Amino acid sequence: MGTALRIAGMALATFFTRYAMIALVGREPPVLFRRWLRYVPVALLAALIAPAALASPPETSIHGRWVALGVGALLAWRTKQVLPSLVSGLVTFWALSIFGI
Amino acid sequence: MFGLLYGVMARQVGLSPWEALAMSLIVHAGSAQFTALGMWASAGTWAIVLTTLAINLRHLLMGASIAPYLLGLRRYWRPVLALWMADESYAVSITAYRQGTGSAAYFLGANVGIYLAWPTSGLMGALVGMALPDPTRYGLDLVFPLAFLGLLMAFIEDRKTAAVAVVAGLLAIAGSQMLSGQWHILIAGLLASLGGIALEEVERAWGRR
Repeated sequence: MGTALRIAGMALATFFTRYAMIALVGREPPVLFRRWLRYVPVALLAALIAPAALASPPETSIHGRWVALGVGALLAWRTKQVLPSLVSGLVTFWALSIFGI
Repeated sequence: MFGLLYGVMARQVGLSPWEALAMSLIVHAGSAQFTALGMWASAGTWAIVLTTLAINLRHLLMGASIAPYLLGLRRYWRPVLALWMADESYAVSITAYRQGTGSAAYFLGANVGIYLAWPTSGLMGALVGMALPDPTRYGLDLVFPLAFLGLLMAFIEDRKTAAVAVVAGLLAIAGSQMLSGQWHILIAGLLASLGGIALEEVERAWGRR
């Protein structure tokens, strides 16, 4: 039930943002709003990642996680893509855990 | 590819493959779905819905830019096209419209193509995810932060966006210690993004001197 409610709420929120401006055809959003939108995704993503990166599951090596996240962040920064950071981070983590770090 | 990743992540937070599929079919918004999964376990329904709304605000701009091209259509087509307007189908359609080759049929075709591909790959990912045992043991819980790091970096265009990201991260860490649920994500995101505008104003004031 909780899952269905969440999915329905997300669907309504998504439809609202997609249809609102098409329904109000011809009206431009204010300039300040446009400027603000440039910063919304970057801020939300960073807010999502930072606490999650600090979390430490009990069974895994905390050092391995940090190194893997560091390598992933570096690759993400250089390539600006998801796949390199994902693959390099996971491979780093696995390699380190083989050596028991 | 993103669909596969989405499916694997959905399994990690405990959604069944059918729930993951239903979300892709009904919500049909990739970045919002990823974000929702990131907060699924600890957030309440309102926090998830409002964060979805914030992530999707960019659709308002997309809608505003494509709306003039849809004026000639019958009224009932507009909500149908809006319902399926994904980032990718919007991008190819607005490009076609601007070059004079666009049409409602083209827009609809692009929308439907993505509408079919996204849930299919998501379901495949969810089934793959079922086969993987205990995610933390294999470091698969790192999939979330690593994938989001890649997304985040794509949005860091200059010093102002970088500063906003740092501030948002610090606010979120502080907030996660003080607030219950996942409200810190939305609050830190809103405050830091408003800070971006403040930075622009400061920059402009300095430029004038």
